Amino acid sequence: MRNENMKKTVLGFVPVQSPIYAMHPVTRIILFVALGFIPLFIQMPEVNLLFLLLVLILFKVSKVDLHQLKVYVPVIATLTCFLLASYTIFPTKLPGEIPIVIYGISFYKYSILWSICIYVRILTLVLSSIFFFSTNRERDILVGLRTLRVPFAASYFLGLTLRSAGMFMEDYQIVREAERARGLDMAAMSWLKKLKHFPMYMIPLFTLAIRRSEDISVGLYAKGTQIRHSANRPDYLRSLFHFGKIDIAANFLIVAVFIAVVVADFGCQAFALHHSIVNVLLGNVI
Amino acid sequence: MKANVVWFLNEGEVRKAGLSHFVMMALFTGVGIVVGTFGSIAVPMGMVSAFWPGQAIQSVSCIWYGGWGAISSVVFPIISNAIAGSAALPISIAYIPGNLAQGICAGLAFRKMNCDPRLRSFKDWAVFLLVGTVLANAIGAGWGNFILYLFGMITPDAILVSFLGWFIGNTIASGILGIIMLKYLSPLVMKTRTFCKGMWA
Repeated sequence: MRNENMKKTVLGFVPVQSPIYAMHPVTRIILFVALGFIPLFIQMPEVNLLFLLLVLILFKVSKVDLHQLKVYVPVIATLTCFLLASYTIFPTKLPGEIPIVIYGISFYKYSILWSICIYVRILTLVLSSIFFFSTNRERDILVGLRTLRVPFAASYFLGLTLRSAGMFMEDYQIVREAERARGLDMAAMSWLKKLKHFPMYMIPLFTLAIRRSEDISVGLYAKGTQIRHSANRPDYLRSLFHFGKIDIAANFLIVAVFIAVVVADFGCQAFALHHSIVNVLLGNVI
Repeated sequence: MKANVVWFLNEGEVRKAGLSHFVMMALFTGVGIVVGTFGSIAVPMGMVSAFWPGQAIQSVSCIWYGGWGAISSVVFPIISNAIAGSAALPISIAYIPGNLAQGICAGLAFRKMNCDPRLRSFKDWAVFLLVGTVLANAIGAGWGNFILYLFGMITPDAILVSFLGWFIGNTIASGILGIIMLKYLSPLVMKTRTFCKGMWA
């Protein structure tokens, strides 16, 4: 993979040959929105687990280097602890429910059932959003939004925002390198010292950002860029992408699944927690 | 004592919202994304962060850039939460009123109470600490925990503990970063065209 040409996405690098790039950015946005909302209509953990599996398969198929995701391990681990603690120490229980006591800690089956439901749901939502930013570049997002007829001001704002985040990170790295060159050893610093040190970065970084904003404003003014009244602008970026048959089929499938899930949920509560295998395994709590 | 004239227009002074405000808003949003993402990843606490300096960016941006800062303080948490993996899109969207309150409180208070962003008097310090951090974070943490409860992330009994963790952690983080930003950067920002004496210019 190292020898392949890579695209720099918002969160990392993905090979240019990744199958995800066969799809138009609009399809990727629709997939992101659908995966961001479908799990909310589903209470059954095993069904959400299928969507979680789908997201993981998408990661694999899209050739995203999964090592990039290491940074999320602490976030996911603490999410697990947070939910576990919340539902164990402050359980939600049925009236008259008898707890299971293990090592002096009371566990309520109803609470466990809900914690599993919420955990799988949130994990699916979080991973789907990480997937989107792992596979899309700033320009992909822009093209997607512009194709969806999002106003120029909004899409331009988002593009500039993502670009400025990148520039800010670059400046941050430069400041850190300069500190290292002067002998600052961040690795040897305690956690508290690191926290205290962090705000100190802000002064040079903000100064650079303010100066850069002046430069960009002047540049845009000189180019005659108009944020308002900017209809019918020629859009070179959009011409680079083609909305093909695969996109029509994929969008149709995504929308069909979304509508099916919503109808099944509101129509007959098909994904309600009492249908879940977990509920059966826990002895039909609900 | 000399009257504070930061928010009043000088005679003949014309201030209009323009391209530079738009660019500054976008850049500040980008900065917020990085700071917010760092905070969410650095000290995560499940769906919240025990040290989220992003709130300082929200308060300070509204003090300096008024309504532009308010837009920025609403937009950047959505993106930073998505990048940090700390909250899914629907939850981030539901957070919007809380994020707006976290930003706009300080911006409005500084303008209405005629405080100096350079924190020159006791009143300036008190307004920023009480309104810009304590009140703003109380509203933000209250709304945020309500949303977490709505999404089933916390049980009703856990709301108070979660609220306190969120409120105390964020207040300390945003207090420290906010003071540094206002104290050292306000003199520079106030000289730029993008500084807003009113809400939009």
